Amino acid sequence: MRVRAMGAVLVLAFGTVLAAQGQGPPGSRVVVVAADPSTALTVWKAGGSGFEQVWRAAPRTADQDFATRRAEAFSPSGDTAPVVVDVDADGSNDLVVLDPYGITVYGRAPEYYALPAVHENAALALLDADGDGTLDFVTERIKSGAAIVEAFKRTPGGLVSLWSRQMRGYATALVAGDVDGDGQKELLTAYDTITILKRKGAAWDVVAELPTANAAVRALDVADVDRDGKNEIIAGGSSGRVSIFKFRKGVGRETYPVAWQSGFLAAPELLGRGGVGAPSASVYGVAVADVNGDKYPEIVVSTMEMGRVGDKDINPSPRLLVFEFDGRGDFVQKWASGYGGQAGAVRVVAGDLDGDGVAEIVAGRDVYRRAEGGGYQAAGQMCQACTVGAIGHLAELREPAATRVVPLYWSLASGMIPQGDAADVSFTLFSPWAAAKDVTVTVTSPNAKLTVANGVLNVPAIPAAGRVTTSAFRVTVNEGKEPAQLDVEVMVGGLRQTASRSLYVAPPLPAYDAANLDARIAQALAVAKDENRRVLIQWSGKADPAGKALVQAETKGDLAHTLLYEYAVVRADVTGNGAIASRYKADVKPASLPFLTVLDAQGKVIGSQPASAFKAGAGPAATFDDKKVNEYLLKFKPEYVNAEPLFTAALGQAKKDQKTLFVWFSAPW
Amino acid sequence: MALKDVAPVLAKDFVTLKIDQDRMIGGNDLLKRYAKVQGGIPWFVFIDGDGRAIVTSDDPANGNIGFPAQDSEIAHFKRMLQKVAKRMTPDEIEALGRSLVAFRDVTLPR
Repeated sequence: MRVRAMGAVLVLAFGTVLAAQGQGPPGSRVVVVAADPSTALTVWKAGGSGFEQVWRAAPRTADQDFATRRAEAFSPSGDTAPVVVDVDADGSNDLVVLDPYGITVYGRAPEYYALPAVHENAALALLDADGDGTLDFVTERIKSGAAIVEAFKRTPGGLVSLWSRQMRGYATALVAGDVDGDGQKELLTAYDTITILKRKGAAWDVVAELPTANAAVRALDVADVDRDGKNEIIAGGSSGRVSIFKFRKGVGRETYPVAWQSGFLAAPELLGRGGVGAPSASVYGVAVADVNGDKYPEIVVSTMEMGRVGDKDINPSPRLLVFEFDGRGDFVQKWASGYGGQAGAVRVVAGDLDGDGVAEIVAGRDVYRRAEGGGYQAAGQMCQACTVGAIGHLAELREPAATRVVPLYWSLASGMIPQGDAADVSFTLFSPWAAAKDVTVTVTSPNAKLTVANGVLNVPAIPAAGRVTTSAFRVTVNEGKEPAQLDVEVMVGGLRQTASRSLYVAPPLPAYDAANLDARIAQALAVAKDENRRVLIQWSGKADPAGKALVQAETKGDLAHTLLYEYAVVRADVTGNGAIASRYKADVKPASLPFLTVLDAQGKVIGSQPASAFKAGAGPAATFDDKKVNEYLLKFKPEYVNAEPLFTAALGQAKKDQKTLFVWFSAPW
Repeated sequence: MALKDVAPVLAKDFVTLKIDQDRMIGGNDLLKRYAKVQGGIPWFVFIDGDGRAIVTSDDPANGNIGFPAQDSEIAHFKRMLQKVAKRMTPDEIEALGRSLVAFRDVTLPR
């Protein structure tokens, strides 16, 4: 692939590498698009002595949750790459951006498509997924802990799923490119291996899985780097090396052997830090472009390195390296930047920003250009915090005006309801681009795991870039430990959107148990002694509704925190345990239940209290005031111990015994 | 660490100390003294008698391994043990690795 970007637009944003090719459409101009922490998408062009911002998508920071999720997705490890491509075949490129809620097309005919589910980590590629000659969206998203590759066709009513497939591990990269030379693009996904998917009729099959030395492949590209007219696969990741895989067609067999692999890319002077381990290096980006003006493409690599140079600590710092093909099969490192510049990992892209026929290198906010005397020098900066990018021609960008509503989050903060219980839940709806009127949300369960009542929710209006909370619907968890799913349909302005939300079923609430009570109290005392806690014995009966109400109150707010941090809890069914209760002076007459006994770590009773003092309301439906229960239990909170003397004593013991000190840092949560 | 098959093996080469960073005064300061990168907890460090960190739960390739559960995390933990072991045998280190796999298999969803 020859990489030239004449009169082109450079798009720098968030993810894998796209190199500008060929002449841009009339009216297009040379610009850079970048992401910044306010989640704005900005476009920059080379001008004067540096770079000027020429376009900015309106930030959606009116909603902090939306903004935060977008910002996370646009981090270098978020792998959410924008794509520059003519989506609608109107002769002008569009900018396509995936975020945790949907896909936005910025262009002459902008659009916004809600995705079926909010996701945390995702990648986007565009290719003809169904063979009809038009471009489709392909996403790789994490769903219920698994990486799912899914292809969508764009329709006026939203996205229609064409196919989906579960992949190994987590999505770390997704690229479309012709890797076997048949003129049809394959789909490459990566985790610790690289998986190649190929269209065969309407289906996509895995045709190869390439092992790598990486725990996570973070950089993946398809380009012709050895001048043979056929594409290679260039990959790098946590191993700190770059590998090139090349297609070989044998008799009845097609393979992708490693054609070249770099050495460990940490700087030669980098040492382990503070005597700890080896120096660390990971590859975060690769770009292929003619950056030295010899008319052939070079490979530009961005790494993240950590260690020590002399007596100076190198905190995780990005570094750039340029490799040139020697014409015989080897790639020779010709240049490496120093440490410094911006903190954190950066992706790298390369393209001809200034129209001189030689590509510039853009790594995060920094732009490098070929230097007169060889090597590369800083040529300017763009936004302060942009980290990753892509390149392409762009002429005109507009924002979508379509009314789309995102079911942003629900009132169930933990996302969990205990098995056998019910909860009242409401959705907060977000309308990112325009005001929405007469919105109807219908919540249903696709199976018997959950029951939904009052699931039709009407919202008269949502302001532009604003959010509104619906009335509540009731969800009852009937069965299952696996994540259960709710289907959500949003109808607005004649458009039907669908989404789904996973709900994790919490274990049933703890029950009062009559068995082995002495042993369970002894175990709780051992924990209390080891961890400087108190023991709470909570006396009740299996079928006592007040006892269950107290357990429910203990899942709330500060009381849940106090129990987690300060107590080892034993829930005791009084049946057959009268003698033990007497020993601890607990009043376990039915009228006194539930009853609370607090012990110190030596087993001495330091608190005795019928829980009825903390009731909110009366009768069998009474609940408990968790704040009052919390106030009572906090009276017995143990004094915290000082870590330093413990550490000094343990260190002294280790030295005396000629042993190593093993220090384990944790917290109650 | 307190399991009956684990504790005696660790005791051959280690004095163990558990620091609750939220419930011990100065616990968080102690963590910051040794953890140069904030990679979450659990986090652990092997320290020599002069107070110098020998190796930590920060895997150079993947960051803090936390409680070793995944194969790559258990591999890093075994490398940590190999680095400091004086009395512990290679077989015992392998056995500790297997005990982590067994613990994972009964406690974590696969």
